[in-house]
Amino acid sequence: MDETLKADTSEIQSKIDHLEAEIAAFEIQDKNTLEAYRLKFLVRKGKIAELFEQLKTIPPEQRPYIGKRLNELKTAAESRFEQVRATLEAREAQAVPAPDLTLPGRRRFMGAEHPVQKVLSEMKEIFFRMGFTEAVGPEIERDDYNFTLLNFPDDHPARDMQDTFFLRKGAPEGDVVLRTHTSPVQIRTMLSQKPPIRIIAPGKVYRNEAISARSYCVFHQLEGLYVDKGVTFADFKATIYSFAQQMFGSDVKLRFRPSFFPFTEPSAEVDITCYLCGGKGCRVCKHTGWLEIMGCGMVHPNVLRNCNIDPDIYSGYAWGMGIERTTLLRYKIDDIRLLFENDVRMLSQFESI
Amino acid sequence: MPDDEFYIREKIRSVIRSIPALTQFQFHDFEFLYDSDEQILHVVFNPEQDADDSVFLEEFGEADGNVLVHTANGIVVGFSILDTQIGRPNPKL
Repeated sequence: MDETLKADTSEIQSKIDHLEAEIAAFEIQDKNTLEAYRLKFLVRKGKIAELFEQLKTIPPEQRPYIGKRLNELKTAAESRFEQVRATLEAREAQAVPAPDLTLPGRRRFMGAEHPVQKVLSEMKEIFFRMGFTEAVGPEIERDDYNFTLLNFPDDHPARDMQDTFFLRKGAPEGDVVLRTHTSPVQIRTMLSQKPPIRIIAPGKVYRNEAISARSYCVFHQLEGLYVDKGVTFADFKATIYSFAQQMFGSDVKLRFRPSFFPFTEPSAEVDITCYLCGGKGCRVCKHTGWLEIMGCGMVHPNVLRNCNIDPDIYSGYAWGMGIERTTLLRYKIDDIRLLFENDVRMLSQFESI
Repeated sequence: MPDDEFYIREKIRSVIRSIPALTQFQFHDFEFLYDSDEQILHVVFNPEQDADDSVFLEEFGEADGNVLVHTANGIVVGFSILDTQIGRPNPKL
């Protein structure tokens, strides 16, 4: 460089040298000092910009050299700033504590099976092991299947609107109802299959009853039907004994009481010894020691005939039991309405049962 | 527009076209201010944005003095020509 030029620019060159050294010596340890560095050197009022301001005061022929040095100084300062910032950010990212893999996992609410479904599943499982298969039918049912083919006389009180929900009444093609029991599934099965028939038919049924703690307008039934040659009531008793022992305990006792249903003959109601008090008498069994669990009987010959099955060759037994009653007793629930309100506060209590 | 402003603007546009770092602004509107005491012409492309940095240009095209380009967040917002006659009002007009 020309000596004259060097002399003329010595002052600003000295400032550039000094600033260069100052930038190099500036210790940046963290974000705060990095920001201090930026404010000191890189902003509009910073030291480098200050030198750029002085460019106009030096002779024009010296400006290219000084301008170039200032540009280099600025680039170096900015480069250091970016480099340190990247280092600090990387260090910060590494400083985030690693996840503790020994911590127990978060427990998620997986939902709970409805108590009615729990009981129903248990019952179905028992009958499946005995060789029964599951049959299903519609909840909106024709009068024929719900009543007529099941040997209900025309004047039977169950056909009254006080007991049954009619969806269509008086139509030429027949009444349509919400099924009042799962027995129509028996009819549908016998009309579509030939014996031997061994089915269970679980499902919802509807009755026009006043809603209270003890009764509801909808509930679940588990229907059973076995039709074959030579089926007797003794077969039914053996089946139900086996079921009751698996469902309610091996020391349970059964009692068959004569009863009447239009679609079975003979008919009976089955009681089991109260599984809460063991038959000694308690509030649940109303101090009788017995709990009614189902209605049953041998399939009425008229019903078999209605389904094109010859009652002189085939016989069968059938039963129907309510699921809710067993559920209420098992879980000591004193209001049937709780089973239908879908209140999560109630249902969540069954999560771990 | 006074005649001399017309000529000044044309000259500034000519300078902008001749400097690679500024050619992107050749069709851009600008404001200018000539500092007679310092003999510096300031050209502003974005009057609402203050510059936060300057770069000394080694190549200054048709400018008759050194050029400092001003940036804000790395984007050019204006430039200055040092020791220039460009922008000086013509006393004859």
